[in-house]
Amino acid sequence: MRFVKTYNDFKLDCKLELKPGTITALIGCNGSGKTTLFKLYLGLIEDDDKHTNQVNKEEIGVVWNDSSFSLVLNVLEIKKILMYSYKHFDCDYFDFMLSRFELDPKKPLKEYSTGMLSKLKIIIATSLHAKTLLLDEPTSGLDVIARNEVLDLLRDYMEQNEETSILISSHIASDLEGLCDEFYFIEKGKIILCEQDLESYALLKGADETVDLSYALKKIGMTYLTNERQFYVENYPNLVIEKAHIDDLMEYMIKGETV
Amino acid sequence: MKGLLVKDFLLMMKSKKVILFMLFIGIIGGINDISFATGYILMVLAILSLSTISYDEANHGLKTLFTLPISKSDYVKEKYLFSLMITGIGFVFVTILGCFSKSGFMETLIILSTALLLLALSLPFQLKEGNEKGRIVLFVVVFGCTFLFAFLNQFIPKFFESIESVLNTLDPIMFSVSLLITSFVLYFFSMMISIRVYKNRVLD
Amino acid sequence: MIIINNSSMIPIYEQIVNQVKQNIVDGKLKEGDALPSVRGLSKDLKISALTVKKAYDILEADGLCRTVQGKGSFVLGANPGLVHEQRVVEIQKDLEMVLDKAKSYDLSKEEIKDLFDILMEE
Repeated sequence: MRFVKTYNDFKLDCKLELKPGTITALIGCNGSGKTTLFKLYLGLIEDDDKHTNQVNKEEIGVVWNDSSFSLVLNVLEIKKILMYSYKHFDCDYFDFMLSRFELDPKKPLKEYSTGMLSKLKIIIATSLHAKTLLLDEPTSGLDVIARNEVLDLLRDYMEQNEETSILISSHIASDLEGLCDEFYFIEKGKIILCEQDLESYALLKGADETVDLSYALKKIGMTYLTNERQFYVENYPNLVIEKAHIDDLMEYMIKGETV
Repeated sequence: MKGLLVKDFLLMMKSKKVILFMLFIGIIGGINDISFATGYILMVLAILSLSTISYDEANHGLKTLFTLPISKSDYVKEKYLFSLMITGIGFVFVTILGCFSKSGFMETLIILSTALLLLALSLPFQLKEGNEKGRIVLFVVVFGCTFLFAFLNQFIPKFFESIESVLNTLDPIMFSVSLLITSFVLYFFSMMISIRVYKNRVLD
Repeated sequence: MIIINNSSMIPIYEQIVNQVKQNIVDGKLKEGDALPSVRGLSKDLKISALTVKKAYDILEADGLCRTVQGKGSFVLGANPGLVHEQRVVEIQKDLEMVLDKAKSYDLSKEEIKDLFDILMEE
């Protein structure tokens, strides 16, 4: 799917594909276009051709980071709204998940902590048994324990619903490495990298003239980013080689000097 | 749309105490003058039904709302339907409350029409710009009309007398019923305008 | 029980393949046994499903398991080549250890070779 949207000071132009049975990560800094992409996908805004994407919202579950149902409502009330809004809302699953995560259904949302609210939003989205889940920074603002609970929730859901497509956007990427199958890196409205196999990436430190740098992509200072880790592991036992994590990839692809 | 109606009723119930208090004032005031009760209660309910829009828009709430399977025009239609329903409930309440005198009922119909016209005028603004501007429009219209009438009354005393005499020649039933029908029609047109307007609304 | 080392330079899919192979050789996985589901294993190990799938594809290509669409992957039983291969890898590791030790004691290459020949003749 192609997403194109021009604002005054910003242009989003990228291609992204959501595949069934795949968890896709969209990683980018604040303002890189992640939320705009979501809005375009959902048909909340129109693209440059004045088209609004038509999606069947009955089959999409969305979690926004900065938005929820009205905070004066409590969970029981929201459950009612959902029951009347969606044909396939799973009440039993919803109740079960509420008790599993010890969320009080009678408390109004404004009394929920950030972590509880995030978990609730994901529970709502997964109770729709939707074919597609769009999660906009679902772990942002959560402590470590809550983050892991949220990620485990998603893993369980994928195990039970194997044909779902999930798109998760984040600017804190460390959570996503152990979860996502495909990674899109977005910067200033453009996809700068799309990868499935992060394990082929590494950071090379202390490379002198004897090292063949033809597989190095970027460098910051004297450290190089490469996507041919095994080549360097096998040929340069004395070179310091570190696994490159998502955050490293972001940093080097955006700020690094091209080699 | 059912989900939206459920939501708005639940939201209004949050203001339960305020509503009951208002009804209480209305009833007390209404002991002396039934038209006060009618006007007051209907206006209060009409305005309260608009408050659901501010709940929707607070804290980027529209982003979540529109992930529900509704379109922009569904949202607008539901607001009109909901406001109509609330005003209708108020109308029934006031009618039961009032002594069932014929003239009282006519007045109730006229006030109902006024409430509908008020909603018809302010809903498009509320939906377009968000609650703040909508409220301003509401006040401007209400006070504007009050000042207008006071002004006209001051400087053209015959103005109202002549209107009254014209009105008195009309059959009161015909008049109030046709006024009501007209306001329904205008209400419907207002909805069409709002749907148009909301299409361009940025959801944040 | 498959355990992976996240900090190791050995790609995770390779670690999975090796461990499954070892389990088959050791008899912990017998012919007909089901391997954990892709999503299940990825959940337990907290890794991406694609990595697990890659490991399973390699195992299938090596003739060690068979994937049935919709049902999962099943062990095909150890072929003699596999057992031997794993044993060779084991011996190689042991020999590497011995050689490292010898080098640290400053034995020369000649001394080591002589020692080896003597032992081989016994």
